[in-house]
Amino acid sequence: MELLKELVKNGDAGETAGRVRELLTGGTDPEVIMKEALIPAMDEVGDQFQAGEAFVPEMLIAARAMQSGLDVLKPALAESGIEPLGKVIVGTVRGDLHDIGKNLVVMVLEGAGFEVVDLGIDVSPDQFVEAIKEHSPQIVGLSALLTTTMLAMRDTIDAVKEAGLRGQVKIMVGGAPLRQEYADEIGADFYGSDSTAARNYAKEAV
Amino acid sequence: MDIWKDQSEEARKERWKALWAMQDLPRPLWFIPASPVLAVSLDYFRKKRSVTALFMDRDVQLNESMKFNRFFERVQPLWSRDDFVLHLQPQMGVGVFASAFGCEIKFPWNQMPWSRPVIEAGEPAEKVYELQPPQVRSGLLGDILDFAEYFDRKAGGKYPIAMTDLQGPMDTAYLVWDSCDFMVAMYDHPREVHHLMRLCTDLVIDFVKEFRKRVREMVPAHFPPVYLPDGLGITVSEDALAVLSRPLYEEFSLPYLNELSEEFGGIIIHSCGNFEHQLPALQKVRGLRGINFGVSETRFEAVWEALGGRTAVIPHCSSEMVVEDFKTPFEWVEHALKAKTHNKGLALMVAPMVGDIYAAGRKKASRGKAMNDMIELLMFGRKMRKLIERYS
Repeated sequence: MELLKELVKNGDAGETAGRVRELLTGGTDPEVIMKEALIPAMDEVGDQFQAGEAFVPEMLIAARAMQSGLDVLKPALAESGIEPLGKVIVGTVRGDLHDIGKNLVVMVLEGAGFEVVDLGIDVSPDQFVEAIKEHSPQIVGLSALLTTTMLAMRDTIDAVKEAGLRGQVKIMVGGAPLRQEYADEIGADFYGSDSTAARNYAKEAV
Repeated sequence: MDIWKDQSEEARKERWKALWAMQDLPRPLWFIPASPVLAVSLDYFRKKRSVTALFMDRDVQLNESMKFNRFFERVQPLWSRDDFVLHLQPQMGVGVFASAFGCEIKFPWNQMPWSRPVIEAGEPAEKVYELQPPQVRSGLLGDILDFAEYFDRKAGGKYPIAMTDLQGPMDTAYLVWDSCDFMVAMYDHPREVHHLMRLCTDLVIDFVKEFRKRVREMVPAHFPPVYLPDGLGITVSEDALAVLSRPLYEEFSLPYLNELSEEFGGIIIHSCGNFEHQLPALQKVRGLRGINFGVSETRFEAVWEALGGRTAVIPHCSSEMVVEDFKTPFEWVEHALKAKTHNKGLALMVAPMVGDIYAAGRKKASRGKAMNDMIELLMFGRKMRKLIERYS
């Protein structure tokens, strides 16, 4: 398991998948692989990122390795009846095409064991509403990089309220120009300054 | 000694030259970032007025820029008496160099222009070899050159022409190649990353040389909007500083920055985000003429300690920034003035948002709110000068 953790942390996607296969073939419980290797490895990289010891490329390659391991593991997890921690939909709000921050949140949440529906970039309030109806997530994550586009977060939250869905979901927001005051003002449940904060909140919220 | 005495444009230019020569001036320089198109666009955004023509139509851009400059010329001696040197600048957003590689550029009515990558997420890294080496007129760059020439001709040389938004090679590469894939490629496909960096660097060199030919006085600075005489370097936006580790930055960006610096006589780097971990790497940039950063993210003390006295340090603080431990820009300015150990190379970029100044300045003075806004802005300049006097 320690070797698998190291492979994920080092971002070695090919070897990670191979090691997961080996462990499964050797009879290791898929849930143990998930909880004792893949999730702790990504948690560790996320913590290093938050501490300024790892940077975006290191997060990306670790997440990719984690994903390659998950791809091998998912059928075994399904067979064992293991459920994800919860479901989250994430998107960059209308008018904003920036995706690095949003992608990091997606990767870290998947790495923590959540099922994540990535709506992509330039997502309108209506698209968020439709996605909530379709996927019934517990949490919705909104991302924006610009002071001009973060205003669409308010529109999105208002649209969720108008659709009568606000009570069903927690809404977390993040992005470079945001601050707690703005999140409070628009009625978000949580503001996270980075992907690790988003992960920690999501774990508490479900 | 009246440290604010000479407010002529020539005197302001001389002060900037002394700053670049790292002279210990009687006071630090301070300036309001009053690049005309950016200032006017903020005013447009607030009024929910379309900015599309402002960025795309050379006459609209020139007329609005001239109008703004005339406004600023009137208020500058009254309220700020800062060191900003007025200029004209052809401006179409951050993607003009990326457009030369074929990136699609959109001009939305309510946002700055944006671009889409030509190498999209999931496409093979080898696609970089299919990119045609861009020419100086490829994409929107031809329009930028034409705008520059037109502005210079129409203004009759009254204002220097500042460089368009010069995203550095790394920032442009991020726009050309899906940014996440590009960063992963630094590990998986370093040759392809270097190939694109080479193309971006060559393009910047060729373009700046061509721009220089088109105008009487080129100021090779886009942001921070400093007065930089041609020959002392160029400014580049280098936001990758914050998101990359030091080894990756040194491998993939540093060599190209050094090349630009050697070509143009120095380099001034602008970056958003916290890049304190890169300060040792920045010390390796040959001919680093200046460093510009937002104080809400990177600490002034850290930059001053690493680079102060060796290169110009140009921190940016505005009313809209939330800076931990400081309630107003003045509190931050006082903090920085206490922390500085000399005035060599120090230029404070501090402002209420210049769009606010412009909007307030053009309201009818009979309206009470407009008068209050104007008085507040007048007080801003006065407070800044008092603070600087106290610590000079």
